[in-house]
Amino acid sequence: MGQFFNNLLQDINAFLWGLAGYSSQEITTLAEDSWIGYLLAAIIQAALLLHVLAAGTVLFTWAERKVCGRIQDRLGPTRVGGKFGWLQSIADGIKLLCKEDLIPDEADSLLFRIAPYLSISASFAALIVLPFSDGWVAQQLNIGAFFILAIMGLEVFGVILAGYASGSKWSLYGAMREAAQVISYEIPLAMCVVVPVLLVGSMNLGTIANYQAGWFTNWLIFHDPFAFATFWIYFTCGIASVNRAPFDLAEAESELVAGFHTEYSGMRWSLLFMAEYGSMFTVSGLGVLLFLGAWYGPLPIFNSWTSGTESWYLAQMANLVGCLNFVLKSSLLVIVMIWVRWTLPRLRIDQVMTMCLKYCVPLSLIGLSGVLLWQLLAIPSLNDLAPARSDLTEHWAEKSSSPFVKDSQEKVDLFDGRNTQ
Amino acid sequence: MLDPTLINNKNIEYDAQTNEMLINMGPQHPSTHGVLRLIIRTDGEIVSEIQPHIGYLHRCAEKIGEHLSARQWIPYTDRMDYLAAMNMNLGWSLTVEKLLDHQVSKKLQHLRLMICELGRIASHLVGMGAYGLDLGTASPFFYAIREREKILDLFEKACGARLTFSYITPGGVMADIPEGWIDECKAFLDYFEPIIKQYHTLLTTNAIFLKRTCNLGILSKEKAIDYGCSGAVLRGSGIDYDLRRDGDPFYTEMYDGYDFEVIVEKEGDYPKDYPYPDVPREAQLGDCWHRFYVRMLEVIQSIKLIRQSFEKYQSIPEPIEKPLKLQQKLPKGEIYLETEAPRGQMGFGLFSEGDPIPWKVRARSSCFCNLSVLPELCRGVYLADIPSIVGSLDIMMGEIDR
Amino acid sequence: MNSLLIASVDWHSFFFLLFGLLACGFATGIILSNDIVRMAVYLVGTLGAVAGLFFLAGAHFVGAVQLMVYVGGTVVLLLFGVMLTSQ
Repeated sequence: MGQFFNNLLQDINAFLWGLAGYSSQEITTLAEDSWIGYLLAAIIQAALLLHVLAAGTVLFTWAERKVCGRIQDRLGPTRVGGKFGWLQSIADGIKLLCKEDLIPDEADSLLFRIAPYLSISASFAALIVLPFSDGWVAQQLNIGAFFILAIMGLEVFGVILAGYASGSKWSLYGAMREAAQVISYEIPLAMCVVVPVLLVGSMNLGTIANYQAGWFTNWLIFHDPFAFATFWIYFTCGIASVNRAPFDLAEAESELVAGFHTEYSGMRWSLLFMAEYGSMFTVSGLGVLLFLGAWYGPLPIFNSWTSGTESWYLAQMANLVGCLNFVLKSSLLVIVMIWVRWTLPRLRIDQVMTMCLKYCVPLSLIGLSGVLLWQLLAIPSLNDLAPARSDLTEHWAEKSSSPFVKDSQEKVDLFDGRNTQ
Repeated sequence: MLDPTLINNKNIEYDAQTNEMLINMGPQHPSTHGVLRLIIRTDGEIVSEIQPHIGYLHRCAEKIGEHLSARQWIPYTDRMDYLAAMNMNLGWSLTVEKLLDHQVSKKLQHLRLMICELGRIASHLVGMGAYGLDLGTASPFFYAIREREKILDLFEKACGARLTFSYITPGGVMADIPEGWIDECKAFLDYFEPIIKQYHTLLTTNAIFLKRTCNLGILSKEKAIDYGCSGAVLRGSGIDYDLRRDGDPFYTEMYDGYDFEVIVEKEGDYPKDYPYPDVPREAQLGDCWHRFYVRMLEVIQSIKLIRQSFEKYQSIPEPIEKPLKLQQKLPKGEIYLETEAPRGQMGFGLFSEGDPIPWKVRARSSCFCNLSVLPELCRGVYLADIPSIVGSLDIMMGEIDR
Repeated sequence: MNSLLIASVDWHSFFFLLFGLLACGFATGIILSNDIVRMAVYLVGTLGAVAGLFFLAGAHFVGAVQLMVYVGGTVVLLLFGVMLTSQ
């Protein structure tokens, strides 16, 4: 996405500079370093991503109510905004905005106020490197997968602080559980993320995604049985790391009243809530990018538009379809999370830790070594069935031209020592 | 200072003791089933001591009973165990009838049995659903409520109320069931019986459910007797005792000629007259899972009883009698009668000095005794196990506090 | 011409200074604060700003490692320890 806007802004910039009477040579150099272009691009991207977070929360809350209602043999919201209660989440949002904002006397008010912002910024920051379609990404990092993992580890901070700063014992319990749980589940989660990274040979989410272009057999989940199992381990650990049932121990309502957000109300609470839904989407999105063919549909219908040199508009249309594809697949995973939440009872804290340390970590390691062996022994995989995209290019930071980074042309990638140009 | 008993036990962990924390759970906690208040002393996630505090729902029901006639006190029994109000009505009515030495007709007995067993099903359904809520899954509760609504519909057709029925009164019932009621009840049972399988899938055999309930809060036979436990808590510990079979003849004659089994584990298994899941390996007699399971099986027995009562009720053509007006003076005497309510033995005491109004009224709550084992069961468990254990005892604060 | 001047501002230096000052400011906060949990929060700020410096230098991997290991791991463990002990 960044590249797209950059190009657009560069064109605009060049046009404006051209009006001012500069030659094309000068324009190119100016556009390359145009900070206005970058600023505008950054603002637009931030606004778009914020809307992903906010609108995502609204839609997923609605979906959660509807799905949970259906699971529980009732209808869910039916009145606000027509037959299907479309506006229920908006109504809830307005209610939350109007609610009194309480800070308990016992609370550490500074930390109490900071905590939701920390949570939501972490949840938001993870979206920066999440590509929604080919090139539609705010910042194409070579280490995208790793960056998302690192950022997701930050989100726990808001929760811990919220729990600690509330000055309530129940909240403290929630915070302690969250800290223990998220730190533990980061390990198997990272192990599972490593699998596609190794298969493709890149941490760049764009490269991993483009590797899976073509038929659905090219998706990395179908690479071999180990990869298939690894996806489910990833998904389980993902549920655990975003605190969804049956691992929602930090907010276990039957034990800890509401866990870390017991003392929160109004907008602060809804920020914590939005952070949870945001990271649900991030985890699902990462899973889709790594295992489920990213923005490529099961059949290569629109792929020729992007690969060919036909037209810029066709390519953008294909990207749009890809974006829809990606959002659809991620939302499906989110709905699976909702489904799981309303079906299963909650685990106990020791069982959650046992599950992580005794099952998830070894299983993810087995998956990792299994995939490695598969590659090493060159066992044929489903991925070989259909030809992959012919013009698969590595998405190493395509000619990074940020004015904020010096000497980017000479940058050498840390992993393979290749010059990244 | 260190506790000398712990030093003698060579408790190694005592060296690395962290600070214990005192937490107050309830009376506004979501999983204390109403207004139970628990003071918990914890070391991290481990509970070292727990102390229940009760009385937040005390409404002086027994004292009020000293100022009302026996029939007027019926609504107060409704509000004791408000999830099984029919059974509460029955307990008090039988007590009054026993004092008056009044024998009701056989047909009325069949009707009462039908109604009370329906009440038992409704109560166990809520118990099951709320247990799911305690363990963190909301869906079984909605399923349970869905079925309970149908029972309440039946009750509403019989007496007009949906929660506090005051239906069974001394000497009879408020009004006979309307035309076609039995067919509707039959239809409900036909619909309900297969659904129980869903509950077993959702909870009883669910892997996480097993992990959360098996081998937890084990109540030994001796302790169950020592603490005066009753109902599913007692039978979950493997004691074959049910007042419907072993109780006062004045009560058990209601169940004469009925074929039903007392649900209790015998030689590692439960009576097999219905396809139900086997006892899992990790479950131990007297743990939360067994208490829950006994309730689930009792529902099936109740269905059996209700099915039998239809024929017996319909085979007697003459109408049921009108209830007693109870305007006369009560005979002198002391009567204490226990009945098998869904949550255990519900006893009512009636002490009469020869006035129309009882001199004293007493209620013996089953949940009170069942709750009293809580400090015993909750020693050394995890914090998250407290809702699990409290839920398996299936307490009802309205009955405990009265 | 004016725009050219703006374009020639050394944004790299600007962000370098910004992150550097943030790191130093939070570090001072750690020293001056009395509350150990707040210190941990300031430490997050410092380490986060250092991660920002790494990103600025184009060392994305080191920056992400900084975030993951120090901010996401070490400080969380530190907070965890504080919560276990402090009263």
